[in-house]
Amino acid sequence: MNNQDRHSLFSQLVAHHQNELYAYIFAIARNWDDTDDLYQTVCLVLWSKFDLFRPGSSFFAWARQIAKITVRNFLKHKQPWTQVSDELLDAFTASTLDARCSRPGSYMTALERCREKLTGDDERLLNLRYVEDLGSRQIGDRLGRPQQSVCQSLKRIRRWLLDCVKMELVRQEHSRETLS
Amino acid sequence: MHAALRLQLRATRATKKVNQQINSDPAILIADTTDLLMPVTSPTVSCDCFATAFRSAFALFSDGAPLAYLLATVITGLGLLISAVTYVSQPKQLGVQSQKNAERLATTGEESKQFVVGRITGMVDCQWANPEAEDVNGANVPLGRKYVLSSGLMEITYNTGAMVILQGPVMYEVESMNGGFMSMGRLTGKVENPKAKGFAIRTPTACVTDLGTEFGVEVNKEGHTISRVFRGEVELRVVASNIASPPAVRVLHANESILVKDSVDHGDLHRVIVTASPPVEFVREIPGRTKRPSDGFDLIALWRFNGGAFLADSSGNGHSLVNHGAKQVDNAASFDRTGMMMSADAIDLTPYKKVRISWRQNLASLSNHVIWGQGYGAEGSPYRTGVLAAYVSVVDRSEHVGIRCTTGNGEGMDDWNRDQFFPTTHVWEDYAVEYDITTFRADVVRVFHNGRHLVSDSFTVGDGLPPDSFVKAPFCLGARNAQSTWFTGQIDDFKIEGKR
Repeated sequence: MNNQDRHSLFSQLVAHHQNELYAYIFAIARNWDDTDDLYQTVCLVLWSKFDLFRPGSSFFAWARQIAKITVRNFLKHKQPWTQVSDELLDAFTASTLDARCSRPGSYMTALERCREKLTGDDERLLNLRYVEDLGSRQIGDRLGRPQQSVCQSLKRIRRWLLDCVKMELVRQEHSRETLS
Repeated sequence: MHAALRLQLRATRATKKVNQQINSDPAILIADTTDLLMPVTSPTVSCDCFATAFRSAFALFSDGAPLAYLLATVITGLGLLISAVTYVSQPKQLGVQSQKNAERLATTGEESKQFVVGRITGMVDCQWANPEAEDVNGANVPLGRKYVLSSGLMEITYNTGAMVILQGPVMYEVESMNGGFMSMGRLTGKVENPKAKGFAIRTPTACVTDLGTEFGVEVNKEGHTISRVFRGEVELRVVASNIASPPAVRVLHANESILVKDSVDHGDLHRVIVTASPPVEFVREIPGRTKRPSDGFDLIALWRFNGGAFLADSSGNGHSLVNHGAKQVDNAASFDRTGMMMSADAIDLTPYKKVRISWRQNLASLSNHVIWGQGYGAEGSPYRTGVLAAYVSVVDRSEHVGIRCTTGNGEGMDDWNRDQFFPTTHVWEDYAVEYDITTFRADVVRVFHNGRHLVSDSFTVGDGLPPDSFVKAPFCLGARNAQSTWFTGQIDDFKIEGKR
């Protein structure tokens, strides 16, 4: 496999599991900014070790192990007053084994599908709100829009997403029932 | 919703960053990876990716309180993780509600890139599940578009000639150039053109292929497919369930109807075809196509930008266009800041007291554009004094983004900010402006999707040069003249009407 193929396979696998992996890291780190850094570190470690990954085995299980170690060491460094118990982490890791976000029919998958249908402007607004963590006033300043209109847009997008997710879940339910 | 959105968006951004890093340096090395060379499947591996100097210090602090803190953290985290993967809706209750929730493919910028497979050719009392999914009569139907009607009728004519009448409540997806997928609801298909032979409607349990005919298909609340043939014949193929259920294919002739349903027999699931009396009423014609009552306006010019008649005037008055760099994209005129179109001849509006200009537009960006103008001829042309024009005007991004409709030569433009009609990018919007020469007022009507009248306003225009009458001059689309204020986006169905 050349590097191009390797990378494309890798990014597919990561993209498929990104929500679970991110959620897993956040559940331990409990801080969005730390999670961002940790997630990237974990992914780069995974990439550098990608040759060790056996196709067919669970990518997420592997990623979770790397994540566990990385996050634990990070916490030890950042919050030396806490002792990170391996046993607890293992118990937690095991309990997330079945909490798969990416199976079809889940809320997260539905949300993801719905997000793909947003316009570029809406997606940008959500990013400013949830990724850059700006308030509606700051977003308004950034985009040169009144705060009120930003609030309304966000409300509209969320309402639409909620409706879309509901329908997506019905649709998936429907197709599962009728096809199985 | 908030937590899930935050999580997904952040994960997406972080993944993007990772991919960028890998792209820029595929051989990227993590400074602290040496400890990770051990088998990753061992649950008790220990390694320190960060300053190992701290390690000895940890042990000193390993009393009960921090442990409790960690425990609380993990439990909270677990809760978050579980909530992130928990359903928030009760699917069973949504049978009715789901009609109201629409997919919003209609409004994404993707539309302009999508392949158009047909047009909407009729609508009666359409209630959309989501107003933003509405579309206008005569609008393009791109491949992959989903239509969710809670009530009403909508007719789609495919480019192949096949026609379907969707009967709300219905969920229909245009999944191929010659067919579609209906997950629930009812439709009638009509295939007369031999080119459209093989037109197929898929449902969750069956596929109905047309053999030159008129037929109806329904997916009822139980998920069963019912098919009825009015004329000709269709082939119905059952989508395989876990157990093959003979017969899998059935040809239906005129006035036959059948039902495909799942039944459990000896503990096994069978998908069976049974003869059914037609329990449903299919609408076979769009009843009394609602024609707008004539309001005294004469059609002067109509540019549809369709097919081989890109530059032609469909009004029959021969006002064809001369193209200066615009492109035909999805049967609309597409402008990229460098192109414009101009009518080949002067359009005489002098006999009229009222003039109505209507057009559809899909803006690519919010910056100053001239959408169209009359009298603003190309540089050096004799028509330099403008009378009518419409602009996308961005004076100050926080306050003054709008469509402004003017008369006069444009000099009084800065005074006309009171008419703010906020345009949106990457969405097809309909506008109509009426200019009244006697009161020297413009009645601006913004029409948005499905002919629904959203905003209307009247205002006095052109404090500079009140014309005595309309003029005789060419129309420019996409620019005012060869030098300035180009348009980026698409214009379609441009219509000029006048009332004497």
